[in-house]
Amino acid sequence: MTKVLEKVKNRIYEEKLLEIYSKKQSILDVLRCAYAQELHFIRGAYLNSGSVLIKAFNDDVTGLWEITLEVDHGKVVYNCLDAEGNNMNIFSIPNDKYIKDKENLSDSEIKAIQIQASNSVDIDLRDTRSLKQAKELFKRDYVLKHIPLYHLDQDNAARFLIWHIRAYRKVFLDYQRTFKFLWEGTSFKNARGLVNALLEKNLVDASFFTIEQSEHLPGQLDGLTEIHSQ
Amino acid sequence: MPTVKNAITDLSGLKTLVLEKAAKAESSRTDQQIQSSQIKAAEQRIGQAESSVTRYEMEKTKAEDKLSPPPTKTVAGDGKKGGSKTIVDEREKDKLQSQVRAAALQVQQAQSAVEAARAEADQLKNNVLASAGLTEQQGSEMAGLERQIKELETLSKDDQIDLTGEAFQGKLNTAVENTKKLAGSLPNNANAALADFWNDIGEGLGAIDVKIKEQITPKPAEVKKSNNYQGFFEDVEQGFDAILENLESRGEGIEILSSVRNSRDQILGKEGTYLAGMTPADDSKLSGFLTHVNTMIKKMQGGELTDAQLETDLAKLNVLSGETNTILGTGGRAFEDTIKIPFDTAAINLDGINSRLTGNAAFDSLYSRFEGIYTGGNSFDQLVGITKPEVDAAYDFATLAGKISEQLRKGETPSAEDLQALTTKGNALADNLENKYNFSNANSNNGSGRGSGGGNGRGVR
Repeated sequence: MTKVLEKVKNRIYEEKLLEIYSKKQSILDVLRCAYAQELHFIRGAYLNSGSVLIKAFNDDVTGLWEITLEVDHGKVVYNCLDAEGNNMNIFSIPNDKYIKDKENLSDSEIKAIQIQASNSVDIDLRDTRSLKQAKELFKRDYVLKHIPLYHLDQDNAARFLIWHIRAYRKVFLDYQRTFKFLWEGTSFKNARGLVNALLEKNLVDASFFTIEQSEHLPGQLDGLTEIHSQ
Repeated sequence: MPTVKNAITDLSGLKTLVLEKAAKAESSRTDQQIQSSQIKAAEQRIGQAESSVTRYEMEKTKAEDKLSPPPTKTVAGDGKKGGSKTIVDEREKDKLQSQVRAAALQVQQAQSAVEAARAEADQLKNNVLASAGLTEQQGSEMAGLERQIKELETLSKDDQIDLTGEAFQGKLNTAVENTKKLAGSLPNNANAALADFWNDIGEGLGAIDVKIKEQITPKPAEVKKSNNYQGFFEDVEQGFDAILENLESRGEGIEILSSVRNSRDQILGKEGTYLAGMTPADDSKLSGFLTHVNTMIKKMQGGELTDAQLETDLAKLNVLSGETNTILGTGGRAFEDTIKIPFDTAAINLDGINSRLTGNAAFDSLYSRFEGIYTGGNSFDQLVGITKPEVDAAYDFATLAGKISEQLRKGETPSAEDLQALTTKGNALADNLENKYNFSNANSNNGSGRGSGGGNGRGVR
């Protein structure tokens, strides 16, 4: 049990903060933008004529990012292990639809085959040795090999992966730095947490946060690979 | 071994391929890095511009018009490779950047508003008690109660501490009193934050309660099932002897001592009864009975048993002994399913022998006798109380019949000793069934070598 008065204090602080937020239009407008962007990240964006889907998710509990790159042959997941996105785990797993004789295999056999062809490595973007290690590992990666990019031989594919991570890390850190003033110092980890709390307490009309599919940062995710693959 | 399509082929050939590619790619690596960094820089600029534009939500429609398609344009290539390439549209970018500045202004305004909000909320936080509708005294009492519950929770996790002892119970009573007092004085709807406090207190008390119950609940006694519950009967005998010894030393009268001895003798009288039909539910009852015996002994040895408690415990012992006696007497809930196994097996094997053995009058007579028993309208519940040696004898007979039947099936000749033993064992078993367990025999006139109380043809079907 934590100190009861501290708990009471924190609860009161956040309740009051939400009440005050709900009355400030400038805060609500910016929060709505941040919320729309998070939803867009979660929905993802199709790149390269719909052959690649990039999705990002900000964990409600830890506030850390998870970025998923999906192609027809499988997916690659970049899992941030710290708030700055320096430490990451890269994990790839093939899609089970390409497993031979799949219909004659049990779920555990299918899983075993997927794991056999998958890769996982922890990297530190400040440590070139870990990047080299990741690069070597992903040179042979099944999923990465099937990302439809121009001149994506094995060496370039692995290099592309690291380049990609750095680029996306910047996108999400920029987003975080721009909007985190809204939830910093509270128990909320992102705009969704704040919006949900406001809605739960009926402090804001739910229709205000009804976001259309198009209401996001257009093209923020789209450009990277489109340009790279031309 | 099934594989991911192409994956294994690709992976197995990758090493060679990678080495080749590494050598080939080495020369173009620098060019590629430069190209990548240029693209990256351009893209980042666009990303920043686009990102900020969209934050400017009020102009989202206008921004989308400008950003879709993205602010890039295609120009002729540099001639080296031919074709065309996509570059950033600088004019468009300038437009976007002007919107960025507008959006940044709005974010700045929001930041100022958030700072003001935080200051206001912080001020309220510092007046926490007042804003929660509480007095200083109540706040202090809440913190005090929380400390008490936390201490009790820690103590309750220590196996060495007697949770029923005076020291622990004294502290617990104080905490319970303080909880009741606060429950009366704190407002019911003062603030949602109070819910956390009460949840914590409730959880703490709940955890303490669980620990106390764990400590005062005796560990269920183990029912030793091996060798037809021999260990169980030994435990019962030792337990009852300890209880009787203590009762005698307390100077209890002959009436009580006789009652307890009677319970003991009834249960121990079931030793040797065939108990393979006992189910887990039956064993659970036996365990409950044995646990009570153990608990009584523990209390007696600790000198904790008052006369009133002794009376209650003896009454409970009497009831549980009766239940145990009944269960043991019926041989368990699965008695009939278990007891029929050697008899059904013997019937099959006797049929096997009968179909192949000819000219053996002694077997013919035995077969006719068992045929009469099987068709005599008997039921297996007549065998309740049958002893383990008797059941062993039935298994012995069924096994020997199986051996002879198998020999005949293979065209071998069974030994005269085995055939003689089969007749002897079979007739002894039939005697026992007819005389001790009153099995009727539908072929009573055909029997030979049976006992004086043989079947009388009752219940022929």
